[in-house]
Amino acid sequence: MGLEEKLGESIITTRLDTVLNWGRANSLWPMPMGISCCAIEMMAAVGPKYDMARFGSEVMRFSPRQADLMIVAGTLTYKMAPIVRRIYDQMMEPKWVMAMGTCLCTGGMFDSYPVVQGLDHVLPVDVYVPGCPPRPEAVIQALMTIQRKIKRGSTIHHVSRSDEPAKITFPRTETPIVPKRSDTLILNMGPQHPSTHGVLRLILELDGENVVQCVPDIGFLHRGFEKIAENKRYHQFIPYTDRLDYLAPLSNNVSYAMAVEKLFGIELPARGQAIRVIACELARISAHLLSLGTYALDVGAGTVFFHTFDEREKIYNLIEKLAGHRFTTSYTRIGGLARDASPEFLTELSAFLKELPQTIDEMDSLLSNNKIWMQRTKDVGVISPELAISYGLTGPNLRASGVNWDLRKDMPYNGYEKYDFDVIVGKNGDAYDRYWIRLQEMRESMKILNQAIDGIPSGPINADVPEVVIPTKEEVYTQMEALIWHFKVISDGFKAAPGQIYSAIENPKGEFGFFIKSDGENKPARVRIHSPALRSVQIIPELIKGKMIADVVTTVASLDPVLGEIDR
Amino acid sequence: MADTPVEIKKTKVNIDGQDVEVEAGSVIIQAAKKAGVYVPHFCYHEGLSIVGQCRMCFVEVEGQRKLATACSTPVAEGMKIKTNSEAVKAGQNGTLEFILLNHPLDCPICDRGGECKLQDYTLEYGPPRSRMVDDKVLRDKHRHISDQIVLDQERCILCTRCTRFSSEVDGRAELVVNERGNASHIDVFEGHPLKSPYSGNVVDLCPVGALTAQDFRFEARPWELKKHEAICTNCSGGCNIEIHTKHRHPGIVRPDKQSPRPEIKRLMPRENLEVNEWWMCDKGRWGYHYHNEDENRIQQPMIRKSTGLTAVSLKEWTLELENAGDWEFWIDGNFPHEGIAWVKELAKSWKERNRKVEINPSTHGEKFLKVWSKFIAESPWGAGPAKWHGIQEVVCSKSYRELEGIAPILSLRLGQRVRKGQLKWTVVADPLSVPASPEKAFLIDVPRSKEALEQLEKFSTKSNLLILWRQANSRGLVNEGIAPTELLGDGGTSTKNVFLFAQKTKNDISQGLNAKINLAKKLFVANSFFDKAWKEKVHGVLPLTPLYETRATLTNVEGHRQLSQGIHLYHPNTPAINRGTEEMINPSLRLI
Repeated sequence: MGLEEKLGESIITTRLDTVLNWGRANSLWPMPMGISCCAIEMMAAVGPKYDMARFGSEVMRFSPRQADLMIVAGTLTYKMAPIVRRIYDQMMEPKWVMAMGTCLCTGGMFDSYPVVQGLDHVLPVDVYVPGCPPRPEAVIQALMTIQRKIKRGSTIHHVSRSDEPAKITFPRTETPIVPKRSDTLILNMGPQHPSTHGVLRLILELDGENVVQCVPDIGFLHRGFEKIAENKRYHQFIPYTDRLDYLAPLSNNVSYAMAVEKLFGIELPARGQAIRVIACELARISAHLLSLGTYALDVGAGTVFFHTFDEREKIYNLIEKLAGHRFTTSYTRIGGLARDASPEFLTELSAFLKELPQTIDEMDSLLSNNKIWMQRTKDVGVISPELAISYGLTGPNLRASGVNWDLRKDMPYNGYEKYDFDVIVGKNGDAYDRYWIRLQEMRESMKILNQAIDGIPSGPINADVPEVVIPTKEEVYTQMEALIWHFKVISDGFKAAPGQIYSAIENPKGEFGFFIKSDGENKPARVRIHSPALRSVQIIPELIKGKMIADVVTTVASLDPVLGEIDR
Repeated sequence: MADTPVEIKKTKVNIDGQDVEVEAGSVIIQAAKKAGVYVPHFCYHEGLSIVGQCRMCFVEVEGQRKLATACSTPVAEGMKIKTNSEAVKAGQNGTLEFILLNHPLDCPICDRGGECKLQDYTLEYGPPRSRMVDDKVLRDKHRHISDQIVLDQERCILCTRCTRFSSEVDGRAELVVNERGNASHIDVFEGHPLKSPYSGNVVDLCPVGALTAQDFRFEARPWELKKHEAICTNCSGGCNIEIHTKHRHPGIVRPDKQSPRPEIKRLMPRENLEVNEWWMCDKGRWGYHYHNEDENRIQQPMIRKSTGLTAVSLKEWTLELENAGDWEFWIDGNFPHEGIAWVKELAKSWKERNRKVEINPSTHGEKFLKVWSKFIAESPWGAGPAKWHGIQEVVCSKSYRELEGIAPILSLRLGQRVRKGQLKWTVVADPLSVPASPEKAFLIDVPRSKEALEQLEKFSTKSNLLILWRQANSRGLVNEGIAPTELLGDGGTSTKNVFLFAQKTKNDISQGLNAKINLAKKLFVANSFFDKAWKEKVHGVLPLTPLYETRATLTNVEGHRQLSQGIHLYHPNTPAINRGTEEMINPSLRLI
């Protein structure tokens, strides 16, 4: 080429557009607008296995002014929509938007009154990522699509779409706080804040660095689960339970199935129960790993996050082998399970259980005696046993306060009485104890898993109740009778006798239960979900009143709330 | 069916510990129905003969060694019947297992799935898993036995309801069971597709998915359908029907506040022994498609401007009526009683404002009304419903087969009795020349000509006489004292403004109205859908809610005044302008 020949080999010529776009495409700084379940998969995409850093996008920026790609991940409610729009408006041009998950594409499975039926009702969207949630691979592909789009675009004449108005009318954003003093500062934390574990909003009244009072504002992820349940047949609601506590879908599935089974008076055979125990304990380890990883990250110890996410990926692979899905499992059926656990799965699980202690020991050595960690967490957010009970705390948060209460021991289900494990109880009820309890509980879960694998009984996984339990696929494909029963059980459902029950299990976060009222129809008349994390959020103002603002983050992270089940 | 003999002897039986008194000679299944006990059955149907074909209705009769079929065992005094004993359950279970032996695994692709008797019974009485290990018998799977009806011989359970309908109710005997034993299958005769104008009924009768209609095939699942009671409007028969609509998002209002318009997926007959028994004709059954053509629907008031028909506000629309001069209101025969009432009211209020308004003005019509008023006063059938009990002979210018095109359901109902020998059908070129008597019924064509009217005037007013009106509410118009537009035979002249009130059905507006439309000074139309008969000529259009979407009262050809509930379509939040209801138009027009 004429000019380049004269300039020599070290200089190439190109168009300014191309250079700028090349730069932009390869250094995208995402603004992670993590709202619900999809956010966990977005975090997985950043984690060590998928490593989005390969695409120059490792710098997640929670400040809109430093970001140029907004990854919206999770169900968008009308209450959340104005916040998303405002943060988008605050981002600098040029900017791009990725709508991650079916909820943001079309409203998805949440065809309910609080949910905006697609992100494009609020923002101009560049890439839609279908899936519920999409796998991390899909997120990366979407990122590459945006890169291609950027490279195709014209820089000099960049056409901004940010003037496009929202297609819905936003509700008014309220700040429900009455200041106690006149010389204080009101600080808004969330709903879009990395340390609120979702879309929790804390309104803080500050005197310097001291918190005068705190008012939590919830409902940004209210998807109307309980109302949806009234319009779904019993089987149809199982996929929704995945998205309640989206850190432990398997455990939610078991809880819901057990509640409906109690309504119908169904008892599972031994093998089905053992597999359910395996599912619950896997979910517990996975949830605690995430909880501790993000807890440490919030307090400033970023390393742990990468260790735990590496292990979580291994668990996801195991879950995929067991249930067919890595994240939203929908593994249980009323009166049974979607499919049996294969021998290969059990072998792989025991191999994994041999590796896992190493990671837990690593975490232990990284944090347990770490001076900074101890200074940040010891004597912070102390809950006395009386206070914990009066607020209705359950699970690790209750046990950290020294109350020995675990549904697996105290009201055993699924044959938990047969397993040998200890209930870990804390002493001080502070943030450190809550960390320590979760660490130890993972070790206890491993004990249970090992026993479950060794002693897994043979036999059927489903109860023998043809009116309720769906026939296996093999039977459906070969037998007329089984096909009809499958067809009718799925399309018409089955009717419970009028009555009401409450059934709960020990979820990673505590007592997770369903109240179901039936009036004799094939759909429940009313469903109420007992959420352990809702109690944890209620206690936050009590814990951080008069404390330092830096302790707010520690306290919230140590309580480990998950907004999917709080807002429901 | 409607007219059973008067003498009734009673028999006492005991069903599941419950004493009931039923007519002597009735069968167990009828007695059970009276006692409120449901006996499962495939082949039994009240409108068909009894064959005891399916063996599903087994019951145990005390003192009898074997199970009895409830549909074919007559009751006897003091009989003790059990419908849910262990033996009965075993019998039902075994019957279903036998039926399912050769049933294909079609449920996921079968239209009947979800409203299938075989499915329901298998769930309630049948085995949950199969013991069958051999291959299933294969037969013809999609045999088009007419343009509309598709037969799947594999799904058929040989209840023979369809063949009995074809030979007994329809009388053509087009469907038959071919071969015997294991090889039996339903079929038509080689090279003779179904010609019956009532062929759709065999689809309703089929307890499984063996007979399906092309019109509904793969269109919807039964649980997606909403059911609305209505009256068919495609002829004057007034068949009781059920409209099945499919909603995309039942109950959920979108952010734009508009609920999607549901689509009519099918019409099905409802039982009414006085009118249509259990049946309806194909013309009515598949004549709803005009209703789904949203692009033809009149949504807003429109006025013709230089650019063509333009949507305007109702206020602007009413301004067009000012200074318009003299008016003729024409109410077509498909307009329901509710509509007639408000048109009358409208005319009254306009007259009070010193406008010249006439409703359906025609000298021929007025003369007819005068003649007919004598019949109303003196004929035993009068204005009310025809009473067929005691009628032994029908006099008509056509045979009952020829009548199928004009009054299909009347022809079907009376034809059955003619074939059974209970009724004599006399075909005379000029029925009114036959002397009247109380046991004779006369079916005559609409007296459009002067001669026909004169002949009617001379005829005995004490006779049982039906005029075979074509439109859904023409008889209603007569009862309201308005001459139906069907009477208009000639063109006539009109230089006045014409306001046409009509409701779209499958058929166009009355022939006689075309002349009025073409000669009108200015034509205004209130209707639910555009119609090519008047679309080019019209000056102003007002939207009405379609007949199937309103509560409408219609009087059928026999004088039964029936309420059609219609589709409950709109969310209460829907703006009135989109509903196009009379509630909206009536008060506004009275202000003009």
